[in-house]
Amino acid sequence: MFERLHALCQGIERLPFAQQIRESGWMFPTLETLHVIALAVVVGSILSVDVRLLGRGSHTAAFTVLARELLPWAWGGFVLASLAGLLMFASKAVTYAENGPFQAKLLLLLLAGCNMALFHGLGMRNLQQWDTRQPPLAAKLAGAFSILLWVGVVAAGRWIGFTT
Amino acid sequence: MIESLCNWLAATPLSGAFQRWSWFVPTVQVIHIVCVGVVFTATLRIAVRLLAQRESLRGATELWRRLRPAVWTALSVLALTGVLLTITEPARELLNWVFRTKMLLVILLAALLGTLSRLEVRPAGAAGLGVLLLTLCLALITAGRWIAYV
Repeated sequence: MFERLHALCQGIERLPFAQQIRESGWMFPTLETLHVIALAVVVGSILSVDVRLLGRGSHTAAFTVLARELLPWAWGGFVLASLAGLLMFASKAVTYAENGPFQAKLLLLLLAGCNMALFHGLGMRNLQQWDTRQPPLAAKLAGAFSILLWVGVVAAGRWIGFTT
Repeated sequence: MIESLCNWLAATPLSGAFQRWSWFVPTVQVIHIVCVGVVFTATLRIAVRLLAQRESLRGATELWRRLRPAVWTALSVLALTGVLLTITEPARELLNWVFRTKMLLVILLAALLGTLSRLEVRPAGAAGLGVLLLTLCLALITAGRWIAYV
């Protein structure tokens, strides 16, 4: 299984666009800049929602109003960050696939997705009751986990740069 | 003169300690990036309101009033973490023209954000201000990333 994954990564690295990114002086930093801009939007908008879930920040504003305004930005940022991230990954696929912080980042992203799905399934029950009030414990826990996971994503991402 | 300041700063025990601790720079950078996210998202929300509201600026100024404490706190943390990173690698920052440009953009952004509360009486040019705020933020993040490459 690991040999096949290794061979797949080697194949990705050999693709013409991957070679171009690796050999160009400006393409990788430009992709990195796009990745950071998109990540800033993702983290900033998700943290704003999470702080509201914790019952702090704009606690007078309805949670639904805040979520409706910010979640499209978060998803848009996530798509852009993923695209830029995939292109960066392709340029050094073998190195990244074997990198611990990169693997941790993927795991944290998966956990953040699970946390969001769990919140939509369980935490948003009786939303009308707390939309403009203090959220219940389940929603607060989802908000706290989300903050930890997304700060973890940023941390793992930063550590990639220091370990590759 | 800046070169001798960099040499002096790099030779201080504090800078030496920061350089030795391998976890220090990435940790400070993580805090820096999270705060960039807070400021950028807040600016994005305000800019969108400024662009959407041609006649009344109440939406933008009300939002700014709510976000102001978080934005100023994040900007203060950004300044502190920026100083720590500069102490760790003074030559990398202070001798780099991209870093100097970034500092200029920071001052411009802070000044513009400072004028937002007074916008109620001067609604003209709100869309222009929205575009300017967004452009400044994007240029700031770009400059921040390119310091490592120039």
